[in-house]
Amino acid sequence: MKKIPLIMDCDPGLDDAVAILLALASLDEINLLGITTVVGNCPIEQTEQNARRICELAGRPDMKVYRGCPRSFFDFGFRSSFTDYVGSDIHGETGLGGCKLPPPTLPLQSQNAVNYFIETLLNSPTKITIAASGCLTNLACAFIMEPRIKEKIEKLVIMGGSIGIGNITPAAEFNFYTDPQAAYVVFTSGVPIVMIGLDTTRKTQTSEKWLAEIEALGSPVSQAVIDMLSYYHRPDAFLEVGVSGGVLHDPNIIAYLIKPELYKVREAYVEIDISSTVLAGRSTVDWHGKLGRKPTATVVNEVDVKGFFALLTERLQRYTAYKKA
Amino acid sequence: MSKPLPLILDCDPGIDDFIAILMILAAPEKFNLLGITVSGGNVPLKYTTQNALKACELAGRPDVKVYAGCPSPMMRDLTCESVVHGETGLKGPALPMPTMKAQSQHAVDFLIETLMKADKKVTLATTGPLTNIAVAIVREPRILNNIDQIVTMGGSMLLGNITPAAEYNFYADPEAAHILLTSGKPLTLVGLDVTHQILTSPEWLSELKALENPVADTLVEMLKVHDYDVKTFGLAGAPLHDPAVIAYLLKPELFKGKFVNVEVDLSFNITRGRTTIDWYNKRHLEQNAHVLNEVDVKGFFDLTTDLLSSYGALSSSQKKERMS
Repeated sequence: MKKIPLIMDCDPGLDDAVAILLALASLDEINLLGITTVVGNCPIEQTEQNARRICELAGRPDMKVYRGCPRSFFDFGFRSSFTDYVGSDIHGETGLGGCKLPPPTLPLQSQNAVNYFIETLLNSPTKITIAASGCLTNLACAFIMEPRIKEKIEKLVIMGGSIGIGNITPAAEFNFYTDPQAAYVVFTSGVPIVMIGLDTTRKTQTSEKWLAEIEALGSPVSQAVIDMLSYYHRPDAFLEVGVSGGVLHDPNIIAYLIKPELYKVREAYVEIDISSTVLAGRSTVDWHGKLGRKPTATVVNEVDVKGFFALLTERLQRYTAYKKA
Repeated sequence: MSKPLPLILDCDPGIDDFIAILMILAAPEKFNLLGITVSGGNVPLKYTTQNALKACELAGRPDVKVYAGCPSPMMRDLTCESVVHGETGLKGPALPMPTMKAQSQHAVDFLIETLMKADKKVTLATTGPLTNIAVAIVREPRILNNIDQIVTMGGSMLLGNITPAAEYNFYADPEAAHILLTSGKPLTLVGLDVTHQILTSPEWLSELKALENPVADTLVEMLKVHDYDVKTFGLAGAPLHDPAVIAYLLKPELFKGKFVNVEVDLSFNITRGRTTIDWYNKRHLEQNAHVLNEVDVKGFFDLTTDLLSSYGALSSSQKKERMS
């Protein structure tokens, strides 16, 4: 299989951290060129530090991490305060749950994430895939500054949105809600999009049994994953109705790239709500083609849960081998 | 004498932006022009950039740094005003293609870098859609700390010009305007309420002609055929929108206004881009803009003529050419 040249755009965050670990363990499939960070699950200073911590944990101090936008397009007071509250409730104060990794020694790149996107894509002889697991502010800024980069994107695999109900509001999923305008820019860009929303990601919940399996791997990486994900299993954890463990939203975008056969999809027209109403950030997915419009995204709605966790275990196991070697 | 004001002009030339550049460059003792940033607007980015360069060369200032920026607004395709400004944005005289080049740095990066490094607060004058500045704020909100004031041509209390509701610059990129209006840094808004008062007249064009300099001559040629607003809105002459921003920076006493709340419409309705200006404070909201509504018309034109006179008289050979 040809390696996928990939840039990850993220806001780690527990599930982003697992997504990075999954990507860095999949060297046969993925050539990770760089990691760009954005505000979201926690402030930008933390998301970029967490990305660097995770790369070090994975034994990849050579990885290039870039800092991106510290705010969304529209700076709604209510939104950031809500984010601060809920963000820290879900991801812990540092954004990595109960995982206490040392401050990173891996340096932060001096180039801004937006400029990194523009320069890398413009100069790349081949198309590049992007996996986005935070709000889409970095990419939207890059599209506005230099629209020609759109042609250089193979596809954009996004964790975001929902066909059904939201999580941060009844209407909207967190990543799109935190910057609906940026999501709108991306979804009207004409770039091929794979949207993996809550309909899919809610199904990939951690169980005590799976956590025990990971713990048994006995490596520093598996221990960090346990420290992170156990945060979801604490008695006072913020859980959605019908959810009993940690929801691994973001690793789905990497699993999709490695094993697309785990997922079921449909081409559909998707529109992001940019009003200031209760619908702000909602992704309306025309699943049944009622509007007769040209599809704008490949929308995922099903995942082979067993296959997903088997893949995750197998890849996290590779860090055990790496540490022993 | 006070020190020259550190200034960045963000523009989309356009005939009136072109005049604004020439006004700035006529007053080096008043303005320390750090750079001109350009966006797509009145005409596509390729032409707006070219026109900014042409203005600098006409002023004999090929050393001015010009930065090309965002080609289109944040969330919609660009609506141009070629019908007003001509295909290339400078209807009228055929100016030579510029030999100076735009800088390779992107306008947004220049704004961020310059403002973050500034040891003295910088004034922003804006005469186009606000895309460049809005993207810079999203990427690096701390630049706001180093901005002294933002003087923006945009908005209208009365009718619009590009639509019945909206003035062109705000219509072209309402989301960018919203980002500036909610940035916490008050804007000085020079809208159509002011700029539709400062109209060119045959008398003023004669005054410019009498200056006998190549810059004024070029402007006369441009303004002679700049008749869209006369034909469409029944105005007595061409409104000098963007020059009003420069006049305000030089002589604020020529203008009157009020601190009020301004909100820009972001809907996709007929009102898109309209500025709702709460002149009577009916909504008791934050005063986020200093909205100008009166101008000393004679004072404005005297100032503009005075600035343009600094470009010096024609040489004898130029005079001979002019006669023929």
